[in-house]
Amino acid sequence: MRDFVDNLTVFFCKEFKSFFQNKMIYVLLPIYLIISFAFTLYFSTFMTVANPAMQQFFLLQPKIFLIIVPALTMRLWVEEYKNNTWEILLSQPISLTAAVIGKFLAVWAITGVMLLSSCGLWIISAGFIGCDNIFVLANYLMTFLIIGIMCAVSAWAAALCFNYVGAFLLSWAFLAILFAVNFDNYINDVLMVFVDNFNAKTFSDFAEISTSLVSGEIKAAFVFYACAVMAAALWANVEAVEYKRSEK
Amino acid sequence: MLKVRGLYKSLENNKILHDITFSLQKNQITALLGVNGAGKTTLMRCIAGVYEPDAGSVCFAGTSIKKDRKKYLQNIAYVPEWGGLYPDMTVFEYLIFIAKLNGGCDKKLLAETISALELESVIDKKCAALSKGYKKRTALAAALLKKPKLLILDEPTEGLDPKQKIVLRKLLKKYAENNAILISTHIMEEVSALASHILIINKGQIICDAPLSDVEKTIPDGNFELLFYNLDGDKH
Repeated sequence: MRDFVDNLTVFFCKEFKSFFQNKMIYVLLPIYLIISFAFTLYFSTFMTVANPAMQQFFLLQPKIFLIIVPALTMRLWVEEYKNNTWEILLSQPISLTAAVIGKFLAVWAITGVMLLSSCGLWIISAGFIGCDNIFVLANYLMTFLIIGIMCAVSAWAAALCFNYVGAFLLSWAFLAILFAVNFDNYINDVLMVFVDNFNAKTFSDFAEISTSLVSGEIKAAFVFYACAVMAAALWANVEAVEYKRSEK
Repeated sequence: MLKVRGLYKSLENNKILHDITFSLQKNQITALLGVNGAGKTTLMRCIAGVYEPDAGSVCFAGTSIKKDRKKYLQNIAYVPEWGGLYPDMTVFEYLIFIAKLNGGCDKKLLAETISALELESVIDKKCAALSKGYKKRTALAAALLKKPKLLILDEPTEGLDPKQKIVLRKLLKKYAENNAILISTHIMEEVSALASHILIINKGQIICDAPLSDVEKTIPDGNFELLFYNLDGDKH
């Protein structure tokens, strides 16, 4: 277990640092801030209606990260194949699961840094219009959780590809499906077998989740759903890497 | 030390390796020879844990790669033909990264390895900025940090200048005093300068597994090039 955590930490640090070394963060961070602030301040009702929980800002976040997350994850495994470091990794006495989780956590942490950089808007809003800080904090946590799902699914999609364009497009497609399809009915069908009259509404309906962002709620059902999807996507990611090991 | 028994591997529905069986001994440098496409790199990747064999067994000192992958790989280091370095890392960062993946960084060993491979002048350079020779030496240094009992090198001297080749040969000979080394090469002078044992692979099968001295006796004028010319002719 200690080796697993050590390997995970090594991969996390290496990946996190690489976003700064290859200057990617310096390109994506300004783009993210410009889009977020421009759409929130100029193209929404942020300035004209009472806005204690910064609803318009948080409603936009999943849509903006729909582009940012595939751009971050596309390089995770493609770079290993391209630089031939893939062979080096596979010949080390390490757990591939640790590598997969370490890489995922690094991307998630980078999105966390991006999200934190938007706190300036919170500070300004709190100063000028007054914010319900607890609601805003809850919204930040919910948004971070949604982005976590996106990172895990996107990292899995990227592990299936051998080039950047393919990895970006497939990741984007996976995320678009995740947003477009309401999985509640399927989850209901499965869970109803175990629990009578189980209602999974708002388990996975992203529109519903976005609405709950407006009210600053943290729904336990969604937290459970998010953790389950992340675990499943990470498992699928490990399987994809293992499959490539036998086929590449 | 290493025992390979009945190894089969196919890639994209092409049978690459068929029924490969051989052993490697301690204190021995074995040269793996064969024409392009014979299966040398695939065989090395199967031994190094990069590929999973379709059938057969690979064991090192009694530990099977299938049964205890981690313990098996602790004894083996592999340097692929194209280095396998992270371009954004400096040489030092790369060596530390590999050392950490193998349980930690032994500072004394790190300093010795950097010195033995004359990497001091490029230690803070990014891997992307290195010449081919330095890339090879950095990859080899990372492999040596594992203190492997079996070192697998794919085309180790390609891209090195004559001085670097001599330094590398000395280093490998010294390392082989207590360990085993498997090298794949196209350069015949490497074989006679380094190897004590020969494995020749053709069309995915081992066709020769013998000491260098025995092989040289059976080849007219000790001419390996002629042997490969004949094997290649066989292929067409």
